[in-house]
Parts: sequence; structure tokens; C-alpha cells
Amino acid sequence: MIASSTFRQGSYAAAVAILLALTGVFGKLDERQVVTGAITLSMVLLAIMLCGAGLMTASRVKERGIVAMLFNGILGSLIVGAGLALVMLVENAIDLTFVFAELKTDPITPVLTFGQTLSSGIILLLVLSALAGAISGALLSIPSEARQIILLSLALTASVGLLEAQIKSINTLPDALAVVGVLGTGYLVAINQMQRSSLVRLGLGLGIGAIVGIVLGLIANGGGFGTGSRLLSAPGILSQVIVFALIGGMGSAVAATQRNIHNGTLFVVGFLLSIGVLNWQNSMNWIATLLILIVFATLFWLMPRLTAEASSRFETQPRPERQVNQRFSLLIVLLVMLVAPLFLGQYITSIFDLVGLYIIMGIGLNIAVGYTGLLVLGFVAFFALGAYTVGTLTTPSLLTCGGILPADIARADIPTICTGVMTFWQAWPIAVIVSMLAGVVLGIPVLRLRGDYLAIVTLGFGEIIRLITLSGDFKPIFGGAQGIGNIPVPVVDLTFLNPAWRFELGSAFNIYYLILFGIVITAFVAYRLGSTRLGRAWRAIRADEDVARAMGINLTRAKLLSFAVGAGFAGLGGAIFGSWLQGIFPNSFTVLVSINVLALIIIGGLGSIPGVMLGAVILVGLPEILRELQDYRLLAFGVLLVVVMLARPEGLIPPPVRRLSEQVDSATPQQGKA
Amino acid sequence: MASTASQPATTSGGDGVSLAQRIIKLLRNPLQVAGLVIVIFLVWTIIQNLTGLAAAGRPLSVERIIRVIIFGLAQGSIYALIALGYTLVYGILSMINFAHSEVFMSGAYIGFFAIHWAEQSGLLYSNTALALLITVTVGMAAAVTIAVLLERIAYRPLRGAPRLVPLITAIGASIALQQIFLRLFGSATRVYPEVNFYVLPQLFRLECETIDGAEICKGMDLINGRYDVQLLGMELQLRPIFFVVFFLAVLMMAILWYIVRRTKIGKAMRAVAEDRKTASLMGINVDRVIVSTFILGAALAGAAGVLFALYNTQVSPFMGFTPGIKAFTAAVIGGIGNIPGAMFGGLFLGVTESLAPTLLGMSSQLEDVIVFGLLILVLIFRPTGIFGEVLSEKKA
Repeated sequence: MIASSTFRQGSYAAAVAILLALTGVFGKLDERQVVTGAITLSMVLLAIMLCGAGLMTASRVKERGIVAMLFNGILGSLIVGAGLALVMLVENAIDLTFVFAELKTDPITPVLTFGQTLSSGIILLLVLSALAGAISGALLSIPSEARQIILLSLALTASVGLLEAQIKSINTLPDALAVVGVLGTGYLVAINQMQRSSLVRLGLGLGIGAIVGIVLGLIANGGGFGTGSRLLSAPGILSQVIVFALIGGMGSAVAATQRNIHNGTLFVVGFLLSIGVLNWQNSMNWIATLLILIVFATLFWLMPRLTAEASSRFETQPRPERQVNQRFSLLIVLLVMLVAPLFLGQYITSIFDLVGLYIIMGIGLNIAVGYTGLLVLGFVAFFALGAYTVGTLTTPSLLTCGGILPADIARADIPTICTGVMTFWQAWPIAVIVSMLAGVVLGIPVLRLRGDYLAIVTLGFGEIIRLITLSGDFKPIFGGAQGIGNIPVPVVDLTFLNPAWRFELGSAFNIYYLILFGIVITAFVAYRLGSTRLGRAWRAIRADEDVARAMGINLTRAKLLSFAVGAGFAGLGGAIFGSWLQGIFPNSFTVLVSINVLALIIIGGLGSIPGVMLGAVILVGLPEILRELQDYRLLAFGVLLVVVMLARPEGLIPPPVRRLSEQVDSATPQQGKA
Repeated sequence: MASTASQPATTSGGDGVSLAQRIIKLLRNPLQVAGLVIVIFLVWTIIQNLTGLAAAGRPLSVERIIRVIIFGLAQGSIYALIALGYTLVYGILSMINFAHSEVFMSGAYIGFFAIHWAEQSGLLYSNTALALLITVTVGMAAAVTIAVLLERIAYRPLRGAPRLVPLITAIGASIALQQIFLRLFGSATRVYPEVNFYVLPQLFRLECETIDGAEICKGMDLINGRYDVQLLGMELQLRPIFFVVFFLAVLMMAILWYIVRRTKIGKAMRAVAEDRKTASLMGINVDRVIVSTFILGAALAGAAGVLFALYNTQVSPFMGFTPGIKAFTAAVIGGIGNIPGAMFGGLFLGVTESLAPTLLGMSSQLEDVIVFGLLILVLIFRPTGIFGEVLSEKKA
């Protein structure tokens, strides 16, 4: 009846739970509400711990039937509950706060007893554990598809509840309904017109979207339907028509597309609807929670079916059709990204900016680590070099003032003496080149050697750059610990077209477009480089150095190029970073930045550009939003790195495996050069 | 690991090659020429600096240099102890155990709780030797526990995976350990209590008091003492703790050397390092040998952690990072996988980093820059490290 594995696994889970509890995690997360006035984040964490243990132990006895699963699940969860109860008893008996310092401010007992006395709290905790175990046992006995739907929708609903304050104002329910309606119409029309070419289908989608847009706009302006909606009360019918036409077109394009894009669109639909519901209810109350749960459950029920159909439709199309489809989807995504800040607000946009900078760096590091397999641990060095190059070239400094210290020059004379001061646009290419050169200089001695040496030398190099910028010896150039201040923001000057068109890219809104542009450029370059002769050489080196050498690849040269190109991208990121913050300090360039970038490309999937983007959103974006979890971000990183390598070494979105048939396909003459 | 210092290195030039030929060979390699230029420049800077100081009327005192070297040797023996852990694991698994710096940290940190307990209970004052012994033992035990868990959870399942994979896990484990310590024990820096460990009152008549006419001396304070010593006409201020660290480190290295060279498990280790598959065919339990390697390395690192904390007094979850990468650098400089190499590399690095700022006339803020610069210089001339043999390019 009781499997021996239950005790072992239960006690592993209990050990992890106790360890986490001793860090004061329950007290820290108790402030954040997931369902208003009812469920806090610490309760969610407790539920995850208990159910996790139950699921783990129950899954070991899966073949023995439902009774055994229930029984072992309950036992597993109870062990964890008992472990936590034990910690509470110990906490009340002896003073743990000298050793476990966090318990001073965040004791465990008040949270885990749910405000009861210690004894009744412990009984309550044990009852809850047994319940959680029973639920997990029951969950395991239903079909796996249903289980996945339940777990995923619970997780996503919880995340919507967590982010309530940040996302509530993104869109309203009428907005969401209008978008989903138009998207769905385009989708259905395209399915019915599959025999026609993809261009015709796109046209149909665009047209229908435009018509629906006009109709909806008219209704909305007449009645009270669209109150509070941004889309439907947008100024001018023309902008509405364009937006809805594009959405309709997207709908028709998505009807036959690859899995990733299709799934992504469905996710967006789900989030739009749930944010709409949240906005309508004005808080995450029980009605909103239930509705959002239903939205996500329906979505996950539909997703595998619809996606399979869409991708089979995509596969059966001839190749040129597929390309039209893909390019259109890409265009729409870009357009959505262009207008996104208008809806997202200042705070989320600034998070997007940060995520974007990490994407640029990630794409760069991905060339070295993902394509070529060179482990670089001090990537921040090149980021810092880019930032400092722009910093010294765009401000009065030793370099730009002809070797005279700016401090020695009278304030009034600075413009006449410091004639070397550049604009951002003149400085950034130099920053990229400086970073690339540094990559070459560092790479020449090290890249000939065993791969492991590169890791440690670059780690050291990252520290060297930080220490040099920090040190007093180089203070005249790099400003020591105070760094470089008053860096001018990039200015886009179009006054020759229209006197009002002078844009200072200083705010989070404006810099967003510069960063977006940077991402598009780097992603494009990285993508195209990946399919050149050099890119294939890189992949060959990653797969097997000896064979690559035997095939006539100049290892040192190829590695050096890979290293330098990656460094150049980091330099670009640094250049943007410096002029965005208008000041740079040595302590922004710690080894943690390098580790962040490395972690995001590994978790996203080595060698995959969409993976970099997903990884950046998860590892940089989420912790920014979940401020309570800031303290645990690095811990989660470390654990994630280990777990991902153990469980899914290829990452979340691994790069597509190039099949031979596709390469033969792309080599055919009508496709031109591949 | 299999090599010894007696085995000649075979990177450049054989025995029959004349000096001129060697120089020509050196000059053909542009990289080595660049390295040579840098070395000459450094030597020139040192000479300039020394003559400049002499001209300014304040030449470097020999006393100061000796003091710096002694400190460097103590610091270097800590590096050497950590470097041995890196080199042992590298020799056997061809893998950089990035989390080794956290093994060192955990020894120092858990050792703090032991010595704190000893202070609270009064044992530290009533029986200092026993208290210190307990502290070191606890530190070593903590380090060993962490290392064994690490091997079991993060490394063993990945044996045979591509090289990059266990390296990334190691980085992840390193961050995770640092953060677990930080979150469990708080972010405040913990400070080792001040210990006065007096020895040999008969030999060293120091800190004496006259009670009832009889002079009673406490002896030499091994941990906290600072003494002015007259030696060969020089006035030297010495701290016994540096000598203690150095001699303890040498003792531990000698024990390690004995284990690896003379015992059965050491022989098994060398066999596994040479060829894992053949070793397992010979009836060696490879898993057990690998675990014992981790245990040996961790015990040294844990002891190093406590020793380091005894004279640096402050411990924090991040204290492992800098000594960790320096120790790894030391292992690479000495030739990774090579035990005497790691010992030599550690001591060499410790002395260099303490001496170089003075000789080059740089601020000591830049001493880490010198360390990594040195690493790159060594790699230019001897890609396999000073004692390293040409490693067969076998795949892990």
C-alpha cells in the first residue's frame, strides 16, 4: 500500500520546504494578494509545496490504482505539512533568529497558522496538507490532458491575479471582445477559403477586419458599448479601420501557420480577455477569478486541436505561400510592438526597455555561446566598454577635450575647447568597434586553448574592466566610482521636414523605439549570419571541434569572429544603456549582469533567437514586476540553471533542427541564394 | 593529475634544440612576441619605479618587501588549498567545479557558528585549542557535506553530457548556494570573535605579568598577535598567524600528496583520472572514487575557509567569489589537473599579487587586474600552465 519511495520523496520535499521556510519566505510573500482579500502569495506557495509533494509521491504508484495514489499522495503532502509544523514548534521553543536572521522580521508561525493559536494552526495545516495530497492524488488519476488544462489555467489565473495592479489598465473588456471578434472572423473566413492563395486570404482578412472595425466603431460611438475602450473610441475612424484591418489580416494569417506563432496568438487572446474581465470587475474578486479561470481552461482545451489543424494547413501549403504568410505575421508582430507603449503605460514600458537591452545582449552572447559553443562568463565587460565609450565620447572628457582635464577648463570655455564631443549617432559605431576590438584582443591568446579557459579568462576580464573603471588611477578618464554623468540623450532631428519634429530619446517611451530598432537589427544580423557559410562553420565547431577542423574550418578565425560579433552587439547594448540612463557607474557592470544574460539564453534555448526573447521576458521582466520576489530572483536563477540542464538541456524554445530536405529545398535555384 | 614535477614539460623545444633556434621559434609566433614585449615593458616599469623611488629618496625597504612576501605566502597557501580542489576534480572529471568557491565559503560560514558557540559557552577561553579544532572540524564537515550533495544532485546525473552542460550546472549551483546562504543566514556580515591563542610561554617570554614576584608569561599569541622582531639587523613586524596558515597548508598538502601517491584510494583516483572506462573494468568503483575526490577537495577548502576567516575575521555568503576565481587562476597557471602545479600556482599567485602593486607603482585596487593579466601572460607562453603536460585531447 505504502511505497517506500513515498517516504524518501516526501522527506526530500519536506527538506526543501523547511529550507525555504527558514529563509522567511512565507512572511515576505504574505503581503501580496492573488485573489483580493482571500488568497495571498504565501498561500499559493504553500499549496504548490504541498501539492507538489503529493503529485511527486502519487506519481510513483501510478500503476497501482487510484486508492494507492490517493493514499500515497496524502502521505507525501502530510510529510511536508508535518515538516513545516515541526519548524513552527522549534521556532516557538527556541530562538532561531541568531542563525536564521530573516526570521527576525518574517517569522513563520503567524503566517502558517493562519492567525490561529499554535496548536489549532498546526492541526489546520495538517488537515490542509491531507486535503492537498488527496487533490493531487485525484488529479493524477484523471487523463493527463485534463490535468494539464487544470494546472496551466490555475497557474495563469494566479499570475493575472499577481500582476493585477500593473496590467489592469492595459485594455478593457469591449476592447478585448472587439479584437477577439475581428481576429476570429478573419480566422474563420481564412479556414473557409483555404483553396485560394494566401494573398487572397490575407486580403479577405484585411477587408473584413476593416468592415467590422467601421461597424463596431459606429456602434460604439452611438451607444455606450465602448465606454472606456481605447481602441473603439480612438480618434478618427481611419486609425480604427487600419488597426482592425490589420487584426483581421492577422486572424487570416494565423489560420495557417507554425505552432509557435499560433500558440502565441492564442495566449495573447487569453490574456486580452482576462485583462478585460479584470478591468470590468475592477479587482481580482471571486467572479473575476472564476471567469478568468474559465477563459484559460477553454483556451487550453482548444489550443492543441486548433494548433494542430493550423500547422497541418501550413505544412500543406507550397513554399512561397508559406513565406508570404510568415512575413505578414512578422510584420503584424512588429506593428503591435510599435504601438504597444501607447497602451502599456510608463512603468511597463520601462520594464520593456530593460528587457529589450537584455535581448540585444542575449542575441550577442547567443552567437558566442549558442552558435559556436564558446562559454563566455564576462560578457558584461563588452557591455561596459560600449557604455563607457559612448560616455567618454559624448561628454567633455580627456579624450574629447584634446587631452585637457575638463575640470581644469572654465565652464564657459568648454564648448570651444572640447570640440571632440560627439552625438550619440556618431559615438555608437565607435562603441561597437571598440567592443569588437576588445573581443579580438582578448580572444587571440585564449581562443587557441581549451574551451574551459575562455570561461575563466572572460570572467576575469569582466572584473578587470569593472575594477579599472572603478579605480582611482583611471579617474580622469572613467570618473572612478562616480562614473560619468550628464550623458546627452540621443536626439532624432527631423526639423528640416517639420519644425516640430525634434525628438529627444530620453523618456522610457522614446528610448523604447531605439531599443526596438536595435533588437530588430541585431536579430536580423544574427539570423542571417546563422545561415551563412560562417554560421554553418560555427555550428560545426559547436558540434565537434575536431571534425570541424578536419573539414577545413579555420577554428581560431571562426571562433574569433563569433566572439567579436557577440562583443559588438553587447557594445551596442551598452551604448544605448549609457545614453538612456544619462549616466554610467562601474557598479552597474557587475558579474551578475553576465550571469543574467547567460542564464536567459540558456533557459530560452541555446542558439535560438525567439528563445532569447522569451528568456529575457521571464528572467528580466518577471522579477521587475514581482518586486516581492526580487530577493529570491538569483536563487531561482541558480536553481533554474541546474534544473533546466538536468531536465531540458535544450531550453524552452530550442532552435529548429535543420532537416536535410529543407536545406536541399532552399538550395534550389528559384529561391536564389540561401 | 597523473603527472609529477619530475616529468619534463614538452611544449616548446626539445633537448637537442639550441638556444638560438628556440629564440627564432619564439619570434615566429606573433602572439609570443607581443607577450614578450609586454614582459619587457613590465620589467622596465619595475626598474623605472624602483629607480624613481630611489631618486626621490625613499627606496623600497627590504623590511616591507619581506612583510609583503610573508603575507603573500599566507594568502597564497589559502589559494593553493582551494586550487587543489579545482585541480583534483578537473583531473578526474575534466570539469571546472565552479561551485568550489561556495564550498570554501560554506566552511568559513558554518565554522563561524561553531566558533560563536564556543565563545558563548566559554570553551573558546577555557580550552582554546579544542575550540579551534572543533571550528576547523565543523568547517571541514560542512564543506564536505555541501560538496557531496553537489556531486550527487548537480553533477552525477550529467556525467557523459556535453562539456558545456555540467559547466552551466556548476555555475547555477554556485549561485544557488550563495543565495541559499544569503537568504537563510541573512545579509549582515558575520564577524569571527577575537581569539587569543597563547602558546609556549616558556619559549616566548611575551605578555608577561609579575605576580607575587614571579614572572608569568602567556606566550606567543598565534592568532591575533603582532610582534616586532629583530632579524639580521632588520626591524620586522610579523604576525604569527601567517606562518601558522602557511605551515598548516603545507602540512595538509603533504597529507594530500601522501593519500594520492601512497594509498589505495589515491591509486584508484589516478587510475580513474587516466582512463575512467578501463579503471571501472579493473574493478574500481568509479562513483566512489569521484565522491572521495570531491570529499578530499572539499575538506581542504573547508579548512582553508576557516583559516582565512581566522585572520580576515569577516564572513559573508559572497566571500568565496574572489578567492575562488583566484584559486582557479592559480590552478590554471600551475597547469590544471596537476597537484604540485596547483600548490605552486597558489603560492606564486599570492606572492605576485601582494608584491606587484608595490613594484609596479600601482594602487592595490588594481591587484586583481594584475592577477588576470598574469594568467593571460602565462597562457601565451605556456598554454598548458607552468607544470602542465600536453593533455591528450580526449573527449569527456
